[in-house]
Amino acid sequence: MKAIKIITSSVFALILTACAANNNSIYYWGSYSVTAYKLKSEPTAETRAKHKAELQNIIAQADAKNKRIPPGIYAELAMLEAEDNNVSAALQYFEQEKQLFPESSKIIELMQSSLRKEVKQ
Amino acid sequence: MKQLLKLLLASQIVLLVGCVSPMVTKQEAFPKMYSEPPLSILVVPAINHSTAADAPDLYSTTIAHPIAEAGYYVMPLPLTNFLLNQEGITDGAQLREVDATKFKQLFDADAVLFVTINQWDTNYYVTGGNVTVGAEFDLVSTKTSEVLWNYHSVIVHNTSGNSGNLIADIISTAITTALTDYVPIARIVNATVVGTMPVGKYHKAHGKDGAMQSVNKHQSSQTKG
Repeated sequence: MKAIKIITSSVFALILTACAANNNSIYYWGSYSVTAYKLKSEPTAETRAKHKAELQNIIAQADAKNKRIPPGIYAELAMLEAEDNNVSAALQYFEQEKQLFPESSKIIELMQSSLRKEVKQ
Repeated sequence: MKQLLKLLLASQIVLLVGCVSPMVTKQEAFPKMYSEPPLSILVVPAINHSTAADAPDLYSTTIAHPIAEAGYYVMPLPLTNFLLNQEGITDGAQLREVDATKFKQLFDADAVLFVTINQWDTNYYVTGGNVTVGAEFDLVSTKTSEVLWNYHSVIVHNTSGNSGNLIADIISTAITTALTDYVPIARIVNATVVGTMPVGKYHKAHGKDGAMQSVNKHQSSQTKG
Protein backbone atom coordinates (compact mmCIF):
# COMPACT_ATOMS: atom_id res chain seq x y z
CA MET A 1 0.00 0.00 0.00
CA LYS A 2 2.79 2.35 1.03
CA ALA A 3 4.63 1.50 -2.17
CA ILE A 4 1.59 2.44 -4.23
CA LYS A 5 1.36 5.76 -2.40
CA ILE A 6 4.99 6.48 -3.07
CA ILE A 7 4.61 5.59 -6.72
CA THR A 8 1.51 7.72 -7.21
CA SER A 9 3.02 10.69 -5.44
CA SER A 10 6.19 10.43 -7.50
CA VAL A 11 4.12 10.20 -10.66
CA PHE A 12 2.27 13.33 -9.55
CA ALA A 13 5.59 15.04 -8.89
CA LEU A 14 6.72 14.10 -12.38
CA ILE A 15 3.55 15.46 -13.94
CA LEU A 16 3.90 18.66 -11.95
CA THR A 17 7.51 19.11 -13.02
CA ALA A 18 6.52 18.48 -16.62
CA CYS A 19 3.87 21.19 -16.37
CA ALA A 20 6.25 23.59 -14.67
CA ALA A 21 8.83 23.05 -17.40
CA ASN A 22 6.20 23.78 -19.99
CA ASN A 23 5.16 26.97 -18.23
CA ASN A 24 8.69 28.30 -18.41
CA SER A 25 8.46 28.70 -22.15
CA ILE A 26 8.39 32.25 -23.48
CA TYR A 27 6.05 31.47 -26.37
CA TYR A 28 2.89 29.55 -27.14
CA TRP A 29 3.64 27.03 -29.90
CA GLY A 30 0.43 24.96 -30.01
CA SER A 31 1.20 21.94 -32.21
CA TYR A 32 3.40 23.98 -34.51
CA SER A 33 6.18 21.38 -34.65
CA VAL A 34 3.76 18.60 -35.62
CA THR A 35 1.95 20.47 -38.40
CA ALA A 36 5.16 22.06 -39.73
CA TYR A 37 6.83 18.67 -39.93
CA LYS A 38 3.84 17.04 -41.63
CA LEU A 39 3.75 19.81 -44.23
CA LYS A 40 7.49 19.40 -44.93
CA SER A 41 7.46 15.62 -45.12
CA GLU A 42 4.21 15.36 -47.10
CA PRO A 43 3.25 18.63 -48.80
CA THR A 44 -0.42 18.29 -49.72
CA ALA A 45 -3.39 20.68 -49.69
CA GLU A 46 -4.51 18.98 -46.48
CA THR A 47 -1.23 19.26 -44.53
CA ARG A 48 -0.91 22.84 -45.74
CA ALA A 49 -4.42 23.76 -44.57
CA LYS A 50 -3.75 22.14 -41.19
CA HIS A 51 -0.52 24.05 -40.72
CA LYS A 52 -2.19 27.33 -41.69
CA ALA A 53 -5.02 26.67 -39.23
CA GLU A 54 -2.46 25.94 -36.51
CA LEU A 55 -0.66 29.24 -37.17
CA GLN A 56 -3.98 31.07 -36.84
CA ASN A 57 -4.77 29.09 -33.71
CA ILE A 58 -1.43 30.08 -32.12
CA ILE A 59 -2.15 33.76 -32.78
CA ALA A 60 -5.67 33.44 -31.36
CA GLN A 61 -4.68 31.41 -28.28
CA ALA A 62 -1.36 32.88 -27.14
CA ASP A 63 -2.94 35.63 -25.07
CA ALA A 64 -5.27 33.28 -23.22
CA LYS A 65 -2.29 31.02 -22.46
CA ASN A 66 -0.39 34.00 -21.06
CA LYS A 67 2.35 33.51 -23.60
CA ARG A 68 3.77 35.53 -26.44
CA ILE A 69 3.32 34.73 -30.12
CA PRO A 70 6.59 33.10 -31.30
CA PRO A 71 8.96 34.73 -33.78
CA GLY A 72 8.04 33.93 -37.37
CA ILE A 73 4.41 32.85 -36.89
CA TYR A 74 2.93 35.98 -38.51
CA ALA A 75 5.62 35.88 -41.20
CA GLU A 76 4.90 32.26 -42.03
CA LEU A 77 1.18 32.96 -42.25
CA ALA A 78 1.97 35.92 -44.51
CA MET A 79 3.94 33.60 -46.82
CA LEU A 80 0.98 31.20 -47.09
CA GLU A 81 -1.39 34.09 -47.86
CA ALA A 82 1.03 35.43 -50.47
CA GLU A 83 1.16 32.02 -52.15
CA ASP A 84 -2.65 32.11 -52.29
CA ASN A 85 -2.51 35.60 -53.87
CA ASN A 86 -4.14 37.21 -50.83
CA VAL A 87 -1.78 40.14 -51.10
CA SER A 88 -3.42 42.53 -48.65
CA ALA A 89 -3.67 39.84 -45.95
CA ALA A 90 -0.03 38.91 -46.58
CA LEU A 91 1.14 42.53 -46.30
CA GLN A 92 -0.83 42.95 -43.09
CA TYR A 93 0.61 39.81 -41.46
CA PHE A 94 4.12 40.89 -42.47
CA GLU A 95 3.44 44.22 -40.78
CA GLN A 96 2.40 42.44 -37.59
CA GLU A 97 5.60 40.40 -37.52
CA LYS A 98 7.57 43.62 -37.80
CA GLN A 99 5.64 45.27 -34.98
CA LEU A 100 6.07 42.28 -32.70
CA PHE A 101 9.77 41.84 -33.48
CA PRO A 102 11.50 44.99 -34.74
CA GLU A 103 14.59 42.85 -35.47
CA SER A 104 12.70 41.57 -38.51
CA SER A 105 12.23 45.03 -40.09
CA LYS A 106 14.78 44.63 -42.87
CA ILE A 107 13.80 41.15 -43.98
CA ILE A 108 10.07 41.94 -43.76
CA GLU A 109 10.52 45.08 -45.86
CA LEU A 110 12.38 42.98 -48.45
CA MET A 111 9.39 40.62 -48.60
CA GLN A 112 6.83 43.42 -48.71
CA SER A 113 8.55 45.22 -51.57
CA SER A 114 8.98 42.01 -53.58
CA LEU A 115 5.30 41.25 -53.03
CA ARG A 116 4.23 44.74 -54.15
CA LYS A 117 6.38 44.41 -57.25
CA GLU A 118 4.73 41.11 -58.13
CA VAL A 119 1.30 42.71 -57.88
CA LYS A 120 2.24 45.53 -60.24
CA GLN A 121 3.48 43.11 -62.93
CA MET B 1 55.07 1.67 5.29
CA LYS B 2 56.20 5.07 4.08
CA GLN B 3 56.33 3.77 0.55
CA LEU B 4 52.86 2.41 0.85
CA LEU B 5 51.67 5.84 1.98
CA LYS B 6 53.42 7.46 -0.94
CA LEU B 7 51.82 5.00 -3.28
CA LEU B 8 48.42 5.70 -1.78
CA LEU B 9 48.94 9.42 -2.09
CA ALA B 10 50.06 9.09 -5.68
CA SER B 11 47.06 7.01 -6.59
CA GLN B 12 44.80 9.54 -4.94
CA ILE B 13 46.30 12.28 -7.05
CA VAL B 14 45.73 10.16 -10.14
CA LEU B 15 42.13 9.66 -9.06
CA LEU B 16 41.62 13.36 -8.51
CA VAL B 17 43.03 14.24 -11.91
CA GLY B 18 40.82 11.56 -13.45
CA CYS B 19 37.81 13.14 -11.81
CA VAL B 20 38.37 16.66 -13.12
CA SER B 21 35.05 17.57 -14.64
CA PRO B 22 34.95 18.30 -18.35
CA MET B 23 32.25 20.87 -17.59
CA VAL B 24 33.01 24.57 -17.89
CA THR B 25 30.81 27.65 -17.56
CA LYS B 26 29.10 29.34 -20.47
CA GLN B 27 31.09 32.51 -19.84
CA GLU B 28 34.42 30.64 -19.91
CA ALA B 29 33.48 28.72 -23.03
CA PHE B 30 31.85 31.47 -25.07
CA PRO B 31 33.02 34.89 -23.86
CA LYS B 32 32.12 36.56 -27.16
CA MET B 33 28.45 35.72 -26.63
CA TYR B 34 28.60 38.08 -23.64
CA SER B 35 30.84 40.82 -25.00
CA GLU B 36 28.96 40.98 -28.29
CA PRO B 37 25.51 39.45 -27.68
CA PRO B 38 23.54 38.91 -30.89
CA LEU B 39 19.78 39.65 -30.94
CA SER B 40 18.75 38.07 -34.21
CA ILE B 41 19.91 34.83 -35.76
CA LEU B 42 19.71 33.78 -39.39
CA VAL B 43 19.47 30.00 -39.68
CA VAL B 44 20.76 28.98 -43.10
CA PRO B 45 19.84 25.63 -44.72
CA ALA B 46 21.61 22.78 -42.95
CA ILE B 47 24.82 21.39 -44.43
CA ASN B 48 24.28 17.69 -45.04
CA HIS B 49 27.11 15.24 -44.45
CA SER B 50 24.75 12.35 -43.81
CA THR B 51 23.53 9.85 -46.39
CA ALA B 52 19.88 10.94 -46.09
CA ALA B 53 18.97 13.46 -48.78
CA ASP B 54 15.85 14.68 -46.96
CA ALA B 55 17.62 15.28 -43.64
CA PRO B 56 18.13 19.08 -44.00
CA ASP B 57 14.51 19.70 -44.98
CA LEU B 58 13.06 17.67 -42.12
CA TYR B 59 15.63 19.02 -39.71
CA SER B 60 14.69 22.60 -40.61
CA THR B 61 11.27 22.16 -38.95
CA THR B 62 12.91 21.54 -35.55
CA ILE B 63 15.40 24.37 -35.12
CA ALA B 64 13.41 27.62 -34.84
CA HIS B 65 11.66 26.56 -31.62
CA PRO B 66 14.72 25.94 -29.37
CA ILE B 67 16.60 29.01 -30.64
CA ALA B 68 13.55 31.23 -30.07
CA GLU B 69 13.02 29.78 -26.58
CA ALA B 70 16.69 30.55 -25.89
CA GLY B 71 15.71 34.21 -26.25
CA TYR B 72 16.75 35.03 -29.82
CA TYR B 73 14.82 36.39 -32.75
CA VAL B 74 15.03 33.69 -35.39
CA MET B 75 14.72 35.08 -38.90
CA PRO B 76 11.62 33.26 -40.23
CA LEU B 77 12.83 30.21 -42.15
CA PRO B 78 10.22 30.31 -44.94
CA LEU B 79 11.33 33.90 -45.67
CA THR B 80 15.06 33.32 -45.53
CA ASN B 81 14.75 30.12 -47.57
CA PHE B 82 12.67 31.99 -50.16
CA LEU B 83 15.13 34.88 -50.41
CA LEU B 84 18.17 32.59 -50.51
CA ASN B 85 16.45 30.41 -53.12
CA GLN B 86 16.06 33.44 -55.34
CA GLU B 87 19.84 33.74 -55.22
CA GLY B 88 20.21 30.07 -56.13
CA ILE B 89 21.22 28.99 -52.64
CA THR B 90 19.67 25.82 -51.25
CA ASP B 91 22.56 24.40 -49.25
CA GLY B 92 24.27 26.10 -46.31
CA ALA B 93 27.63 24.84 -47.60
CA GLN B 94 27.33 27.42 -50.40
CA LEU B 95 27.31 30.14 -47.73
CA ARG B 96 30.16 28.93 -45.56
CA GLU B 97 32.75 30.82 -47.61
CA VAL B 98 30.61 33.95 -47.97
CA ASP B 99 31.76 36.98 -45.98
CA ALA B 100 29.46 36.87 -42.93
CA THR B 101 29.10 40.67 -42.84
CA LYS B 102 26.96 40.34 -46.01
CA PHE B 103 24.17 38.88 -43.86
CA LYS B 104 24.15 42.03 -41.77
CA GLN B 105 23.71 44.14 -44.91
CA LEU B 106 21.13 41.88 -46.53
CA PHE B 107 18.95 40.72 -43.64
CA ASP B 108 20.16 42.78 -40.67
CA ALA B 109 20.93 39.53 -38.85
CA ASP B 110 23.44 39.76 -35.98
CA ALA B 111 24.65 36.19 -36.37
CA VAL B 112 24.37 33.26 -38.77
CA LEU B 113 23.78 29.72 -37.53
CA PHE B 114 25.33 26.93 -39.58
CA VAL B 115 24.11 23.45 -38.71
CA THR B 116 26.04 20.53 -40.14
CA ILE B 117 24.21 17.22 -40.03
CA ASN B 118 26.89 14.59 -39.63
CA GLN B 119 24.67 11.58 -38.98
CA TRP B 120 21.05 10.75 -39.72
CA ASP B 121 21.15 6.97 -39.77
CA THR B 122 19.26 3.85 -38.93
CA ASN B 123 21.38 0.87 -37.91
CA TYR B 124 20.23 -2.73 -37.60
CA TYR B 125 22.02 -5.48 -35.74
CA VAL B 126 20.91 -9.04 -35.28
CA THR B 127 19.57 -8.34 -31.82
CA GLY B 128 19.21 -4.62 -31.86
CA GLY B 129 19.16 -1.39 -33.69
CA ASN B 130 19.39 2.32 -33.25
CA VAL B 131 18.58 5.63 -34.81
CA THR B 132 21.46 8.10 -34.70
CA VAL B 133 21.38 11.84 -35.25
CA GLY B 134 24.58 13.85 -34.96
CA ALA B 135 25.03 17.54 -35.64
CA GLU B 136 27.51 20.38 -35.22
CA PHE B 137 26.48 24.01 -34.70
CA ASP B 138 28.47 27.14 -35.52
CA LEU B 139 27.17 30.59 -34.72
CA VAL B 140 29.11 33.22 -36.67
CA SER B 141 29.05 36.96 -35.96
CA THR B 142 28.03 39.18 -38.89
CA LYS B 143 30.03 42.01 -37.35
CA THR B 144 33.40 40.31 -36.95
CA SER B 145 32.94 37.02 -38.91
CA GLU B 146 34.21 35.24 -35.79
CA VAL B 147 32.67 32.07 -34.40
CA LEU B 148 30.72 33.08 -31.27
CA TRP B 149 29.54 29.64 -30.27
CA ASN B 150 30.27 26.10 -31.42
CA TYR B 151 28.93 22.81 -30.13
CA HIS B 152 28.36 19.30 -31.37
CA SER B 153 26.40 16.32 -30.16
CA VAL B 154 25.35 12.84 -31.20
CA ILE B 155 22.25 11.14 -29.88
CA VAL B 156 21.84 7.41 -30.34
CA HIS B 157 18.32 6.20 -29.76
CA ASN B 158 18.25 2.51 -28.99
CA THR B 159 15.39 0.71 -30.67
CA SER B 160 16.15 -2.81 -29.45
CA GLY B 161 13.36 -4.91 -28.05
CA ASN B 162 14.17 -6.80 -24.87
CA SER B 163 11.45 -9.30 -24.13
CA GLY B 164 13.99 -12.08 -23.70
CA ASN B 165 12.58 -13.92 -26.68
CA LEU B 166 15.23 -13.59 -29.38
CA ILE B 167 12.93 -14.00 -32.41
CA ALA B 168 10.33 -11.61 -31.01
CA ASP B 169 13.09 -9.11 -30.23
CA ILE B 170 14.50 -9.24 -33.75
CA ILE B 171 11.07 -8.60 -35.20
CA SER B 172 10.15 -5.83 -32.79
CA THR B 173 13.56 -4.19 -33.30
CA ALA B 174 13.02 -4.11 -37.04
CA ILE B 175 9.58 -2.60 -36.60
CA THR B 176 10.47 0.06 -34.02
CA THR B 177 13.67 1.04 -35.82
CA ALA B 178 11.76 1.55 -39.05
CA LEU B 179 9.04 3.54 -37.36
CA THR B 180 11.26 5.70 -35.23
CA ASP B 181 11.29 9.14 -36.62
CA TYR B 182 14.50 11.08 -36.81
CA VAL B 183 12.73 14.25 -35.86
CA PRO B 184 12.14 13.54 -32.14
CA ILE B 185 15.82 12.56 -31.91
CA ALA B 186 16.86 15.71 -33.74
CA ARG B 187 14.86 17.62 -31.10
CA ILE B 188 16.86 15.97 -28.32
CA VAL B 189 20.09 16.92 -30.12
CA ASN B 190 18.82 20.51 -30.37
CA ALA B 191 17.86 20.63 -26.71
CA THR B 192 21.26 19.30 -25.60
CA VAL B 193 23.18 21.63 -27.85
CA VAL B 194 21.10 24.80 -27.46
CA GLY B 195 21.22 24.30 -23.67
CA THR B 196 24.90 25.29 -23.80
CA MET B 197 24.18 28.53 -25.64
CA PRO B 198 24.14 31.72 -23.55
CA VAL B 199 20.52 32.96 -23.69
CA GLY B 200 19.36 36.00 -25.68
CA LYS B 201 17.48 39.16 -24.83
CA TYR B 202 13.95 37.70 -24.80
CA HIS B 203 14.96 35.22 -22.10
CA LYS B 204 14.72 36.36 -18.50
CA ALA B 205 18.19 34.96 -17.70
CA HIS B 206 19.78 37.10 -20.42
CA GLY B 207 23.25 38.21 -19.33
CA LYS B 208 22.93 36.24 -16.07
CA ASP B 209 23.75 32.70 -17.15
CA GLY B 210 27.54 33.10 -17.48
CA ALA B 211 28.22 31.02 -14.38
CA MET B 212 26.12 28.07 -15.55
CA GLN B 213 28.35 25.06 -15.75
CA SER B 214 26.63 23.39 -18.67
CA VAL B 215 29.31 23.21 -21.35
CA ASN B 216 31.24 20.00 -21.90
CA LYS B 217 34.54 21.33 -23.16
CA HIS B 218 35.16 18.25 -25.30
CA GLN B 219 32.06 19.04 -27.34
CA SER B 220 33.06 22.48 -28.48
CA SER B 221 35.91 23.37 -30.81
CA GLN B 222 36.31 26.60 -28.83
CA THR B 223 37.16 24.93 -25.55
CA LYS B 224 39.09 21.88 -26.73
CA GLY B 225 42.61 22.25 -25.39
